[in-house]
Amino acid sequence: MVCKLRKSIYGLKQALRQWYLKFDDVVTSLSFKENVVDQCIYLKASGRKFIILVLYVDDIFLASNNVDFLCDTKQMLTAHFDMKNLGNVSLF
Amino acid sequence: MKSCKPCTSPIQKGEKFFKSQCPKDDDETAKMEKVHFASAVGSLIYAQVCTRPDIAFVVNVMERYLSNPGLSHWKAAKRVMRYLQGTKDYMLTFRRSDCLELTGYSDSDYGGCPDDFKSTFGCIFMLVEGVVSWKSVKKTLTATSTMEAEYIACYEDTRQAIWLKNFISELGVIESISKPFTIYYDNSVVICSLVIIIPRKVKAF
Repeated sequence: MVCKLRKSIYGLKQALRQWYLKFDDVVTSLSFKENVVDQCIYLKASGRKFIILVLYVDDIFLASNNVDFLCDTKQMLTAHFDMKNLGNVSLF
Repeated sequence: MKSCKPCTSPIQKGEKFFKSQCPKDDDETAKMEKVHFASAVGSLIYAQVCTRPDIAFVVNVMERYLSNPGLSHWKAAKRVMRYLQGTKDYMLTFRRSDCLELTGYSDSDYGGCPDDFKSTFGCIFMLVEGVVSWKSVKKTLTATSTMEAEYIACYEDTRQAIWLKNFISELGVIESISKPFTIYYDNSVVICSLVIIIPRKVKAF
């Protein structure tokens, strides 16, 4: 039997890089600033409020000093990506 | 190891590990093959990287014998697990503090590894009364004196400190990070030489 593949089974080698670029694009457009020394960490500050976003492959960890700001950011991210909220950080 | 007897230190004082403890013939290798040394050390590394600076040194020593472990290496790895059993409630704590200052400590031994006489150095960084960064590695250079070994440790420590400083200032949360911070060394010759070379930029103790 010969099957024609509609798309690749394992994904392309470039997929990981493309994912990162996509994420970086979106987050930068949401006015996050990339940390120069550790590029998986983003910071967004407005006035006294700040939010830190830590990216680990496809896991995101958010830290902020303002709950509303945090919820807004979460909503904005949900608009761009299909996301699941795993709740508070318990073990890190 | 779930119900093992806890012990108070991760490594016996003055205990050395070297290559001649590795299995030499097939018989000994066959015996050691039954032991999951690599995966045990892997688990220890996980603990060390995440929350346990106290086992950083011994884990680093174990890592050197991953490819061909001997019985004494295995015993040492088990000792670390017994130590963790006794101290599993220990955790890193951070508390609210007015003093937002990064402090570094570093030290080095001289020719600590009996196989190639390279030195091992370690450093930790404290912030808000908790440890934020730690490391223990064997150097790639061979030092010819204690002073040289300590000097290399200073260099490595400072490198890490600069990275940390950049990192924290990028976060924009701690404003006082732009001030010079303190790094503690315990070798007076190194401190003298550092003070001579860069008199104003270093505050060394």
